[in-house]
Amino acid sequence: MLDIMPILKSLWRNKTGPLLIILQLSLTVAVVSTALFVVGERLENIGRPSGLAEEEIFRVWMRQSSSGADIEQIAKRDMEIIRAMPGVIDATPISYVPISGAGSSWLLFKSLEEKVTDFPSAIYEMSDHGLSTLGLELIEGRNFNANEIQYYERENTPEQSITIITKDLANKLFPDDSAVGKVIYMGNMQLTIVGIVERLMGPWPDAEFATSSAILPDIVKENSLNYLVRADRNQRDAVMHSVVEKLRSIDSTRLIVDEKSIAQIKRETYSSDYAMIKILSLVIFLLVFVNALGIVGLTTFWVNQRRKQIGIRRALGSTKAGVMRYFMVENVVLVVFAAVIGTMIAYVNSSYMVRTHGMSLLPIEYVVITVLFLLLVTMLAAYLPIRKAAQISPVVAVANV
Amino acid sequence: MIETHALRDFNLEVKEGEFVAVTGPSGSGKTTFLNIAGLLETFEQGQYLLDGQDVSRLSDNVRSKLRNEKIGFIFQGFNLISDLNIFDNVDVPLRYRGFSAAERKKRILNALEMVGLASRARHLPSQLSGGQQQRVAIARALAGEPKFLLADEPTGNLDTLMARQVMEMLEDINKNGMTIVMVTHDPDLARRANRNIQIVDGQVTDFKIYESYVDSDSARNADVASANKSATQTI
Repeated sequence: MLDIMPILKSLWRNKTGPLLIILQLSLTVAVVSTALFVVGERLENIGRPSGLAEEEIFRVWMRQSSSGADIEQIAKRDMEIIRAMPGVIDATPISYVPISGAGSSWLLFKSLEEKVTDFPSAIYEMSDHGLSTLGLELIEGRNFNANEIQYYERENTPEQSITIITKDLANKLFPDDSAVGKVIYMGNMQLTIVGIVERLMGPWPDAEFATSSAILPDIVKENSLNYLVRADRNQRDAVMHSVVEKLRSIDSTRLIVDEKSIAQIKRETYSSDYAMIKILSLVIFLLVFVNALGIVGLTTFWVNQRRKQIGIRRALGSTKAGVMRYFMVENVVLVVFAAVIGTMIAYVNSSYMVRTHGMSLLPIEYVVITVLFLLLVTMLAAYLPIRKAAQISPVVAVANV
Repeated sequence: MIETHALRDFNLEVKEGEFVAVTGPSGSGKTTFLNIAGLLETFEQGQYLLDGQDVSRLSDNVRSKLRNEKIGFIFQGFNLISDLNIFDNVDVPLRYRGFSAAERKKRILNALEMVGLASRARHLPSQLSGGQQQRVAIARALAGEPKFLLADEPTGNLDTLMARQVMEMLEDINKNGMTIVMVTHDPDLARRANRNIQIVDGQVTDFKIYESYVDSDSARNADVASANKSATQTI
């Protein structure tokens, strides 16, 4: 039998301390559940599948110093050498690197005349080795053929080409039937869709069209060249090192600006999310820690203040376990009140954020998890002082203090 | 650890319905006797028979249960719980006993009625006089229908008038058949009991039986027997 009523009455008669602790716990419930929600959203954001074999790919970015170099020839030669290297699975030149924060996007249209409905999309240019290098899953249609890869100067953009698009983009463009074989427009360039991949994230993961991407079989002849290389996961960094060495040895005049794994690029792109997660985790930890200290302090204070009362209760027949249960229930009561108030605060805040910042409403799971966790921390924090309380001898009741 | 013998060659038998006063100067072992008789403390040697049961070597939990069921405590400082009102104070031992809410309520109101404080059930202890508080404590002690009342200087914190009222109440309760063991240093108070035990240096040195004590049934079994032989107290 849990003696809730006498405990409530007793708390009410000494309400200042308990109310302060309830307030502290409530704010903690509100702040921690909201912070957990934000952390959860960020983690989910980071964890979204990109469609890439993220752990296996690295990028090498070079700048050709000699003007007038034949980029087509250089790229083809480099590719041949890189693909032959041990540990390399495949490689491709690419215009921009996915999830890197730098890229190209266009508004695509379904006809040249009707330009009211546009379809924003990330545009990647790569070779017929692109799909296998990036690890993309072709779900419909076909890959590019080697003879379809066009090398051209930016000013000599061809009037038509073919494209492979993501499933999301295909569903937006042609929700009712297959996109393969359909024609779309990128500026004046006519693109025939030849294939659809399951997924390829754009360069900007936070963009609304992050899942809409189109791949063109082109390599623009520019002095700045990006290669993506896919290597065996366990040898990735070693392969990256030897590829860079190899490229340097082939042509010592060109500058290798940067080499980096996609995993690293992704970490950099999401650095603000990671920073937010770290800060909020620290806030959560500190709040919970401060609350634990508060509970230790308050419980110790109460136990010391009520030594005589505990002795009387023991004399009147309470067991040691009964004393412990009394104080445990007392702490549970505090947490229950705090849970109710904290939930209200959290939802007042959350609905405000929904209205003003377009955030989604705090899911109740986060509040429940926070309350349960706080309950556990409270019990652990109160345990030692409560154990001490149980050791108080019933003889204390007799002593005339 | 120093081993001291707070009580030696101490033998006391209290019969059901008796009103026994235990006196003695401070440091005589009176408090040790009280703690042992009240099952508040353990002792090393000797035997304590309570209601025919050997309660000398019991676990803390069992002793808690026995205190709750068989002993009604009345303390010098009343020892009411200040956060709880009169009703809830009397309720404390009954809750440990595990009575139903209805049973507890009946017992509480009866007990408060008996000490004349039923109308004060919702008052806090601080709103009552010392004498009234001690009567609440008596109600709390009686509500569980214990085997005996163990009173520790029950009038020590009261003025003369209130002390007399409380004493008369204890006498009434005893006349109704309740066994009372009262520890006091006050010889005048002790004289009002049926029997006086004096403890000096941990030993029973003297006891007097007053005329007012009439054992209506001397053949009755000894119901409350306190530590005989030597009780060794370890400090």
